[in-house]
Amino acid sequence: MTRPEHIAPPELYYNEVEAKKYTQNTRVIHIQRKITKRAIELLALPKNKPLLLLDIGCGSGLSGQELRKMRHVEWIGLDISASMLAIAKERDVGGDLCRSDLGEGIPFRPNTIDGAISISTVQWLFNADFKDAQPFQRLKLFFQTLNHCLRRGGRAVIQFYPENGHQLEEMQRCATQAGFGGGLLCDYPNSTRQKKWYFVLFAGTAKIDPIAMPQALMAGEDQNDSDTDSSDDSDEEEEEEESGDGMILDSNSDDEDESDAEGPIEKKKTSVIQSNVQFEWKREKRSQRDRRKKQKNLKQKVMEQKERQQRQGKDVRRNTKYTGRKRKSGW
Amino acid sequence: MKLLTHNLLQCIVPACRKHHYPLKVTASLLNVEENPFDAIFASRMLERLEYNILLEAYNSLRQDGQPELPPAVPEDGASNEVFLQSLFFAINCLDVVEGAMTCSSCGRIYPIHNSIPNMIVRAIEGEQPPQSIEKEQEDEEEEESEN
Repeated sequence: MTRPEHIAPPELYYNEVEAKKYTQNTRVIHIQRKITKRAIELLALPKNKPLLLLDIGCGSGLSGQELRKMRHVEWIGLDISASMLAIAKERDVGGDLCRSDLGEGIPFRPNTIDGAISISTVQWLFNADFKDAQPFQRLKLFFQTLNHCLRRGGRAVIQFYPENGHQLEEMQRCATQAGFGGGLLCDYPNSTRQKKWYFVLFAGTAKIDPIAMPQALMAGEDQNDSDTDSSDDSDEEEEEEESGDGMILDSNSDDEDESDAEGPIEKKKTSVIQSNVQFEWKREKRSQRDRRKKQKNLKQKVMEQKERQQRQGKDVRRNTKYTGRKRKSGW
Repeated sequence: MKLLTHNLLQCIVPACRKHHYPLKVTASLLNVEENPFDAIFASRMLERLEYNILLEAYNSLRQDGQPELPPAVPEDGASNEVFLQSLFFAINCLDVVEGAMTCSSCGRIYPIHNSIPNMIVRAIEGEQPPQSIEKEQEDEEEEESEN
């Protein structure tokens, strides 16, 4: 599968044609809506409280439409693509829009935003799209400014498509350095197509108990939910019915616990990324270490050197019992 | 762009880290949206607003017949219905369609087009980068010295 972020920088890739395609594709809309619902669930917003949310990488406002359904909630969308924003404006998605490059930092004053969601956006930050771009610096600045602008206890849910373990690791590091608590969550970890990575970050509470992390969804739990079934209209309808009565507002971590206890549904708690990804990382490190030769003692080293020089046809002293011995210490 | 967003925005030029707000807003085209009044939302937003900045921005944009904001937040601000209504109008109904924002400390201009402010600082390929006031002044000075 080709990744759009390998083709062109986002502000150029999402031109008018691509933006239009993106917005009219029902499959994209379906997936976006589902991810957004899950992200809102993970945000665990307080019920019926007026909130100001941030949609980072809002694009044409597909995810914003979900945010709009909640009462007392206003949202502000950030995106870099002018064409996407123009479409969002046309569709009247209900949020205020702002064009911004995430790598330059989020342009909001500290302590102003209640929560942030970001749907498949942050992987774009790993590219050096222009001269002098430093992806890791940009990533770090993004997390720093995000942490600043969130209010204490506010959450950020960031869904993205990492290319490899290193990207996950790097993002985790940047987020922790910026002062975020929380960690990584992987929905449907056993499925290739449905697998989704979410960062659930807590601002202002860095030392939060890892138990407070929400639980991941596992495959086989709900067959209707798979991406591959998105073409089936009936499935879509079923889903809508299920989520019709204010599921967004009702679902918080407590509810999840209840359903866990009731149903035969098997939910596995994914712990913080450290345990998950560091494992791979450890294995890699070990293989690297094995490749490195062991430190030899002096005698072996000298003998090897002499052999090598002999092979090269150099004048080498013959080996005696004194070869490669340490000199006696002085007086 | 609504004035709520304007109130929360700050300048992100790296050299301008100390006083990165307020941004002075000017508008050539305004739009009034009719959003249903939400008292709870307005009172909740009040605590995170910089009221003086809002007042200045709103007064510079306000047209005749639109509600007035008092020079300071009333003591019963969170429950004063009349005040909340005008506040809600200011932050959530007034929409700057065309205009610009200028950072008061570094002079950077952030243009607003089609009610979307452009907060990107770096120059983007194929687009005209908005110049800051200082830069323009420097250019003029250079031209003068060349002459």
